[in-house]
Amino acid sequence: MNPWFTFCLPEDKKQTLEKAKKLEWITLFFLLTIVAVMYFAMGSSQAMKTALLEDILSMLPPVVFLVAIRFHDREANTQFPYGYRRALLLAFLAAAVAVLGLGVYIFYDSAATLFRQEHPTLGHMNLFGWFVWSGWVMMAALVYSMIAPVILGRIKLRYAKELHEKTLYADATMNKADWITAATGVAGIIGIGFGLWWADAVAALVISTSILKDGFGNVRTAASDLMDQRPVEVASGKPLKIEERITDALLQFPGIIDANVRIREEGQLLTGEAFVVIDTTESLVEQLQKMSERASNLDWRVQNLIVVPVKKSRKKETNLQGASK
Amino acid sequence: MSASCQTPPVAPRLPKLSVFIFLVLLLGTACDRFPRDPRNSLQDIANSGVMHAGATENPPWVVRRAFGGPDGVEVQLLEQFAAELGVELVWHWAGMKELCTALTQFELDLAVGGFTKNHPCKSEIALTVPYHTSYDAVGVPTDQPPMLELDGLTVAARRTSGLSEPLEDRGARVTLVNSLPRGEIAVAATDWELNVMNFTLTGIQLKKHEHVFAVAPGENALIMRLESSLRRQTHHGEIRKFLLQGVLR
Repeated sequence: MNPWFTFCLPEDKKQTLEKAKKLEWITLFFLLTIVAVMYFAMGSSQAMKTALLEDILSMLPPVVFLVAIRFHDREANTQFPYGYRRALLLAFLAAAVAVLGLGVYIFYDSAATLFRQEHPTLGHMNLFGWFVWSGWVMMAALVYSMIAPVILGRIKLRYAKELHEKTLYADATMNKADWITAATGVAGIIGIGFGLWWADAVAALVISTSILKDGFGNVRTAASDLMDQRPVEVASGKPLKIEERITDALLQFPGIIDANVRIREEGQLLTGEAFVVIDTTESLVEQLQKMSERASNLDWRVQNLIVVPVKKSRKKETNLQGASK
Repeated sequence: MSASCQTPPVAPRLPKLSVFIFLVLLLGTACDRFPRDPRNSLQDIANSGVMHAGATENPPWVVRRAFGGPDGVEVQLLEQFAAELGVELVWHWAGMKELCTALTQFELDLAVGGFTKNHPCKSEIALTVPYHTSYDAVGVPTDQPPMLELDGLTVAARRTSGLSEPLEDRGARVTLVNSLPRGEIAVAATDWELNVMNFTLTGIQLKKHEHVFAVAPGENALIMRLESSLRRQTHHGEIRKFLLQGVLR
């Protein structure tokens, strides 16, 4: 236990996080119903199979989020002195790798179907005693599969930005893109209806590329975060440039000659070290404490910045981002 | 204190979505010839007036008569279908494997021969929705009470029934016979056979058979038309009546 260095979310963010958790449960519920509906409507359509797999896959991020969120607030202990904030990142990486792997498989499967010139057969389906073309049932299932995720995805996107939460963001973007998958699937089935046997496999191929893109993007994000890249904007991936702002703020303190800051992401929060050159030793401890507090006041995400006084020569040895002057 | 995130606004997509749904609905109402055949099978059958059907012998579904003509449950169903289309039915005898190959290469329009839903070729060819479901069951002579378990019981089964394993799995001792013995011991056979032979069904079901017709893959207009015809013809349990009358055995 380390009473000096604990991370905690501001009260308003805690509330947003609770809302996000609730939304993830709702998402999971809808995804389960979607998977059930899609499974019963699937038939022999390749595009439907692919869309179903994507729907199953899109359960991973919410599950990962909900599992990791149980751990991330645990206090640091002797065994894990930096706390559990990174559980989320680790889980996110695992989920991303799974999505990427399945994307590769589905791409191969669809391409092989196309190559073998397999003609998909869609006959009648007995829908509670109603004898209809299974294509209509599939299209209805696909349309159902796009409604809830698109709406939920939009709300979650807002929360993800507010909370600086990458897993939630990845989940929201996957949900939001779900309508493209569903629409592509519908296009494939309409194609079959018009006697274009290849339309279905081509649709599946298109969907698989979207899964591949999701997987690849998520793996890259997760890997970069585990490598402690500088904090970036959740949505755009652009640097937050928080280092510059902290450096500028620190340079305002009396007696500061130079400052150099490095920041990394710790789950939703940001932390790191500031190296400062001070020309006085008068009340040094208070000064350093104030500097850390000043940095935390700049952005709710910045917490526990460690301010280290260094000799002037140190600057030449370090080559850190956010260095100024 | 909090720096709000600056992100580009997301372009609204819902209007596009609703337009898309509208188009789908429009399409649904606009097409009468839907779905269509990629290889125009149904159209070609109508144009040429000939439907090429493959058949393999598998009583009572397909039976080869003494002079080579086909008969049986499925043959009669298919003849009715051809009559509905107003076309001539040309029969081609072949083995099961050959029928599958011919269908995948679009040499035949459709095929019969006791195909079931779990046929080994199911991924290469098209199968209709099941038009009849039968069960392999255990029956006892009418003077014996029907039992609930087979443990240690001797059950007779025909040599080609493929029921030895499911029977043994339930603890039965299997006696393989050439033809089912009447009124002596418990026997395993299809439910309608047991009915015809006056056995009492025990409620022990060993295997389910969902009977289908085979069609050239992806010829969705043809398969839709065939399924509608089969449904009309079998709607009121005609197949069962057919089998129970025993006319085909």
